[in-house]
Amino acid sequence: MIELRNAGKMYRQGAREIYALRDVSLVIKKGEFLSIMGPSGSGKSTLLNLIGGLDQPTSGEIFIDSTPLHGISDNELTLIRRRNVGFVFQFFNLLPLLTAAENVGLPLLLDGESFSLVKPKAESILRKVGLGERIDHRPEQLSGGEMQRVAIARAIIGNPAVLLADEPTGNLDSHTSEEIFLLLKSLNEQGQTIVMVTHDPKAAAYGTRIVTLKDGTTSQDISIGGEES
Amino acid sequence: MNITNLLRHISLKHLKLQKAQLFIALSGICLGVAAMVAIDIVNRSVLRSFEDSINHATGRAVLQVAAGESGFPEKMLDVVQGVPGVEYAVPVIETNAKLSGGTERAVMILGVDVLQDHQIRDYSITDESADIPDPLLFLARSDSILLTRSMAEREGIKIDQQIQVQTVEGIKTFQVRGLLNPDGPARVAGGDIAIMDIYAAQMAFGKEGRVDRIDVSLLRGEDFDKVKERIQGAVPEGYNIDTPAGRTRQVEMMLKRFQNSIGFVSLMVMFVGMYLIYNSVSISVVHRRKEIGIMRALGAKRGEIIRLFLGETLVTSAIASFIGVGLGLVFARLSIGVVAQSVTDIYMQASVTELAFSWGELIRDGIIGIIASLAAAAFPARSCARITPISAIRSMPYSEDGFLFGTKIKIASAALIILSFTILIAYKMAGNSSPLRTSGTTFAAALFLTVGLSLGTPLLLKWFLVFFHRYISPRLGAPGRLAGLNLQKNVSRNAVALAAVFFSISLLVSSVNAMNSTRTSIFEWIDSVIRADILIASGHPLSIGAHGIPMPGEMIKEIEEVPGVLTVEPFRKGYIYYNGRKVMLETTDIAMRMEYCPGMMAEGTRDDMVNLLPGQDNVVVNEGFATKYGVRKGDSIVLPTPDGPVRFGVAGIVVSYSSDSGVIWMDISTYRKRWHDNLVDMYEVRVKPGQDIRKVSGAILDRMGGERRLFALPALEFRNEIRQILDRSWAVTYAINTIVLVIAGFGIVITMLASVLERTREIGVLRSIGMKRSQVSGVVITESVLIGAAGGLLGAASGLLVGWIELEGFFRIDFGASMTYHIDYLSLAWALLLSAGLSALAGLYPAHRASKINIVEALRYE
Amino acid sequence: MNKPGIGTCSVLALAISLFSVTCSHAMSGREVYDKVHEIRQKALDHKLEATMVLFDKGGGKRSRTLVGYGKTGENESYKVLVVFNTPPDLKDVGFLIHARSFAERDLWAYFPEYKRVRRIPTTSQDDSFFGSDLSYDDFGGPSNLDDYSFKILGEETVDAKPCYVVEVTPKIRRKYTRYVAWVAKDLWVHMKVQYYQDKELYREGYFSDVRIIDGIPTPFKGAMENRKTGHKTDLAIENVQYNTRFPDDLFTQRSLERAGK
Repeated sequence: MIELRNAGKMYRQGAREIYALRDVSLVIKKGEFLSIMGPSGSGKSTLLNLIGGLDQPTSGEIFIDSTPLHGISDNELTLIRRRNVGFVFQFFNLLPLLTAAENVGLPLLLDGESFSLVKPKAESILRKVGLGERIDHRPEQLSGGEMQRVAIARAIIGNPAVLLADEPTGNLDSHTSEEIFLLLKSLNEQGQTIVMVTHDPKAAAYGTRIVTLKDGTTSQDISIGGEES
Repeated sequence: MNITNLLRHISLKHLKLQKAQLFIALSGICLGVAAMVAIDIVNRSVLRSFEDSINHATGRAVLQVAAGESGFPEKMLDVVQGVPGVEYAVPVIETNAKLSGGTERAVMILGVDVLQDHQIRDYSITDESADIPDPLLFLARSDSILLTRSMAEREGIKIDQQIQVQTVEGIKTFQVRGLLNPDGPARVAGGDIAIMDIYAAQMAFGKEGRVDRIDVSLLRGEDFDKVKERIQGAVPEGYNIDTPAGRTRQVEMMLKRFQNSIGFVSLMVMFVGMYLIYNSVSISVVHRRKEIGIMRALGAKRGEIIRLFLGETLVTSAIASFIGVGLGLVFARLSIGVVAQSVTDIYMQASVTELAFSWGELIRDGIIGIIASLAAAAFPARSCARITPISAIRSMPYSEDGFLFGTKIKIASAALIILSFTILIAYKMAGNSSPLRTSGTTFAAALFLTVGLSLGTPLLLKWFLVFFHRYISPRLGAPGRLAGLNLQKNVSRNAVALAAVFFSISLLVSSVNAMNSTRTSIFEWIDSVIRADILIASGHPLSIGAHGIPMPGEMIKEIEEVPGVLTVEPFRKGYIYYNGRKVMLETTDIAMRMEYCPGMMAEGTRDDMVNLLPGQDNVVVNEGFATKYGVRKGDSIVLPTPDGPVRFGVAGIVVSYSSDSGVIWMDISTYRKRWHDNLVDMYEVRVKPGQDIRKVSGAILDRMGGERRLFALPALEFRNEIRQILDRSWAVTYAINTIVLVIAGFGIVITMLASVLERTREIGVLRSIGMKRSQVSGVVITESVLIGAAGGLLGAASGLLVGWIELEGFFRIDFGASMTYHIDYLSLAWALLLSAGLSALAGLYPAHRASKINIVEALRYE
Repeated sequence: MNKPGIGTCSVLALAISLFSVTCSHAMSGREVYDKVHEIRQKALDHKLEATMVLFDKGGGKRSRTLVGYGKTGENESYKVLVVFNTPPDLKDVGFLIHARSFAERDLWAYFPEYKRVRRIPTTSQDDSFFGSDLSYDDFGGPSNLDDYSFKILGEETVDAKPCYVVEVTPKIRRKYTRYVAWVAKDLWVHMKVQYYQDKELYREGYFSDVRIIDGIPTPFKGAMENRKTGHKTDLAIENVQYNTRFPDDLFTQRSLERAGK
C-alpha cells in the first residue's frame, strides 16, 4: 500500500517559490491500477517521481508498505527504488548498448546477481510480454512498441510493490498504444499495482481508478464504477 | 551492488564501442608511464655503469687518498700503510690514453702494484681468468701491459704483440704480456682498460716517484671514521680522503641536472596524461548522463556510479600502465645510446653495456600511472553524483554546467595562482643561502601556477568567448556565431579540452624558452671564451677533461716557433676539492686571455684580472661558485694544493658555464707554482693576420705529429660541435615536448568528437531546417579552432612565465644571474600556429562525422 | 707449474737428498715427511745451474737459465738467492729469500730495468700471482710441517721406484686444498705430485733422473703441468753442488741488485 500524507514539492527559482505539488494526500491500495490525469504542468510527473522515490517531497510524508520515502538518505531511497519500484518512461530509456535481456536484467544486475542467473529470468519475462524472439536484440533493432515492452519487462523483473508508468504510450501510435495498455491491464489483473500518468482519458480508462490533478493538487478521484471522493 | 557486474555488462560495451577514444585517452597515461620508466632505467643504467666501474676499479678499498691532478709522492704510501687500522694501502696511477690505430678508442690505464694489488682488487676467480704466459717477464719489463680479452679481441691484438698508445708522454709502445678476463678492474669502462705495473706506469707517464691515488682497505673491526681521521692526520693538508661511494655520489651529483631536466619533462607528460584521462572521463560522464540517470532511477546508488567510473579507469589505466612499462623499456633501449653519448660528451666517459632496472621501480611507475589516472578520474566521476534520477526522464540535450564552475574551483584556482606568485616573490627576496633557493621551490611555483591556471580555464574560456562574440564572431557568419554559442553552452567540458591545449603549449613554450635562454647564454659565452683560431689537443678538443690526454707544458715553445703563429695560450683544467666538494679549476694565461677575449665579468674589472692574477695567489670564481659558497670579490678562499692548503684572494666574479659545480679561474703560472703540474690540456693558437688558418694548423701538426698524435681544430668548427652536442643533450626533451603536443591534439579530437556525438540530434534538427553540410563542418571546425586558439594564447602567456621560472630554478641557481632570459619569439608564433592548426586538424574528423549525420536517424531516436 | 717461480721452487724441491734410512716398521705420513724435510733442509746449502722451459697452450716455448745459491743458518733459518741469466729480457732479474724459520720469511725481487728491489709482502705469499699458476709458495723453502696434516694412502711404484703415497692437507687453505705425493722409499724425494682444488686435479708434476750428489738424492729432471690452463714447465738441472758454505754477503739486497756478483 502506498500512502501520501499532505505531500508537497516546491522549487525555488531565484526568489520565487514554485509549487509543483501541494498538500496531496492519497492512498493507493495493493492491486490497484491508478491513472493520474491532468493538463501539462499540473504536477502529474512530479507526483509520480515522488511515489517512485526519484525525488523527495519538500513537505508531507510518503510511505510504500509503511516504509517512509521522506527524510531518508539518498542511498536508502535508491535501494527502495531498486527493490520496490518499477519504472516505465515515455522515452523508454533503455540503455542503447545493452541487449533486450540485459536491459531487462539490469535491476537484478545492480543488485549483484550474476548474469547467468539473471538471464533466464529476463528471458521468461520477455516471453511473457511477447518478445521471446527479441531477447538478444539491441534497442535500435526494436520498434517503439517493442522497446516499451522491454521497458515494462525491466520494470517488473524485481517483483516491485508498484509499477510506475509516465505517459508510457506518449511516443507510440494508437494501435501499439492499445497493445501496451492491454499488457499493463493484464499485469494488473495478475495482481501488479500500477500507477500511470497520462493526459489521455481513453488511456486512463484502462485503470481501475482515476485521479485528476490540477495546479499541483488533486481535483478529482474516481474509482471505475462511478464513485467519487 | 556488484561493481564487476556493471563493469562487465556496461563498461565493457562502452570500451568496445569507443575504442579510438579510449586509445587516445589512455595513450597519455601509457606514454607518461613509459617516459617515467625509460627515464628511471636510463638513469639507473648510467649510474650503475659508473658505480660498477668505480666498484670494480676500487675493489675492497673503502678509502681513497688523493691530492690534485698531478699526483703526490709515493712515500705517502708508507705513511698511510703505517696508520693503525689500515690493512692494505696500495698505490694507483690512473691515466687516460688512446689506442693509436685500430678503433682509436679511449683506454683507461690503471697502474697498480701487481705484487700486492690482489689484496684490494679481484683479478681472478679461477685460474683461467687471466692468460699471462710469463708473469716474470711482465714484472721485469717496463713496457709490459695487460689488456682485457674483450678489447684484444675487438682490436685483433694478441699476446706478445706490440701496441701503440697515445699518452700524456706522447705515443708509447707497449708489449701485451697477457689478457684479462672480465673480472674486477677488467670490467671497468666496459673493458676499455689496460693494466700496468705501478713502476712501469710511473716511467711511462712521467710520474717517477709519484702516485695518483692510494687505495686503502681497513683491518676487520676498525672504525671507518676513526681510521679516516687518523689518515687525515697523518698526511699533509690538502689531501682528500674519500670513499669510493663518495665518488659515485660525485657522479650522481654531476648527472643530477641532466636527470632533473628530463624528470621534470616526464612529470609534465604525466600531467598531460592526467588531463587526458580527466578530459575523457568528464566527456564520458556527460555523454552517459542519461544512462547514469536511468541506472539511478533503477536503483544504482551514487557511490556505485562513482565506483563504476573509477573501476573503468582502474582497469583501463592498469592496462595502459602495463603497456607503458613495456614501452618504457623500448624507449630506454632506444635512448640509452644518445643519453650515454650526451653524458660522455658533457660529463665523463659513460659506457653503458646493459640496461639496469629494478622490478620495484617498474611496478612503482605502473602504480603511479594508475593512481594518476584514478586521481584524474575522481573529479569528474564525483560529478556523476549530481546527476539526478529525474534527468533520465527529462530529455535535455546538454548537461547543466556543473562541476567545473563551482565557487570552490574558482577559489582553488585563484588560491593556487596567488600561492605561486607568493612563492616566486619569496624566492626572489630570499638570500642566496636560504633553504628556499632550490629548484624544488621554483618547480612548486611553476606547478601551482599551471594547475591554478588550468582550474581557471572555464572562466578564462568564458571571457574569451565574450571577447569573441563582441569582436570576431560578427565577421564569421552563422557558423561562427553558432560555434561560439555551442562552446558557451558547455563551457566546462570545452574548458577541459582547452586546458589540455593550454598545458601542452605552456610546457612547450616554457621549455623552449628556458632552453633557448641557456642555449643563447652558453653560446654567447663560448663565443666570448674561445677566441682562438686553432685549438690543439691530443684528443679531440671536446674530450679534454672527460677523457683527454694532457700534453707537456714545454710544447708551447715549439708551437710558437711555427711560422704564422701569433700567440699560444695554454689551458689546463681539472677538478679540485673545495669544502669537500668537487669544483672545476681552470687555468690559463690570464693576461693573454684578457687581451683577446671579451670575457664577461660579473664583478670586478678586467684590469684586476690582469694585475692580480698572474703569478699571485689570487683567483676569480664564477657566479655559481660565488652563490653556492657565499663568496664575494675581496674575500679569500682556501684551496688544497699538493703542498698543503693555500689561501687565495678572490679578485672578481666571472661568467663561466664550464661546470655547474662551480668554477675557479687561476693564472697558469700560479697553478704551476702551487700544483707542480706542468701539463696542458689544450693550446689555443692565434695566427698572424692574413695567414691561412688551415696552413698554419697543418704546419703545427707536421712539426709535432711525429712524437704524439695531435688534433688541430679550427675554433669555428669546435664551437659548432659544442653547439651540436648541447643540442643533442636537449634532443630527448624536444622529443618529449613533441609527444606532449601530439597528446594534446588527441585531447581536442576526443572533445570535439564527443561533442558531435552528443549533439547528433541537434545537428539533425539544424540540417532539417536547412543547414548545409559544409556549414555543419564549419561550426565544428570553428569550435575546435576557438578552443585551440584560447588554449594557445593562455599557454603561450603562461609558458613564457614558466620558462622564466625554469631558467631561474634550474640554471640560474647554478650558473648565476648572467644567464638572461631570451624569449624565443619564433616559438611563440609557432605555439599559436600549432595550437590553432592542430585544433583545426583535430576538428576535421569530428566535422566529417557531423556532416555525415543522417537527418532522419538523428531525429528518430536519441 | 709454468711460472718463473718454478725456478726457485723446483730448485728447492729438487735440491734434496738424503741417505736412505730403512725402516722396518710401517711409517706414518708425518714420519715420511720428516724424512723428506730432513733432506730438503740439507739440500738448502747449495749452488745450482738449471734450465727451465715454459710451454703454453698454443705450443709457445720460452727458455730461461738461472743460477741458485742457498745457505742454512741457525735453527731453521736459511737464505736463498736466485738470478736469471737468459733470456736477455730477464737478465739479472733475481729473488732473495731470508727465512727466519720455515714459517717466517721475507721475500724480495729485483728488476734491473727499474733498478728497484721490491719486497713481496708476506701476506701475499700464499696467494697466486695475478691469477696465474705461480704461487708465492714456490719462492720459499721447505714448509713448516706443523702447518699440514699427513695421511698415508698406500704404496705404489713410480719409475720402478717403490713409493709411499701420502696425502698432504694444509691446515690453512691455500691455492690447493690438498696434494698427493709419491715419495720414493729410501730416497725421500717426490717422484710425482698431484695438486687438487677440492675434488679437481689442477696440476701435476713428475720428477726423474734422481742422482745422489754429495749424498743428497737430487732429481735432475722435473715437469709440472697445469691441467686447467694447459701450461707446462720443464726443468733440468745442469749442475749442482752441495755444502757450498757461501758467505752471508752473497744473500744481501746489494748482492741481489748486482745479480750475486
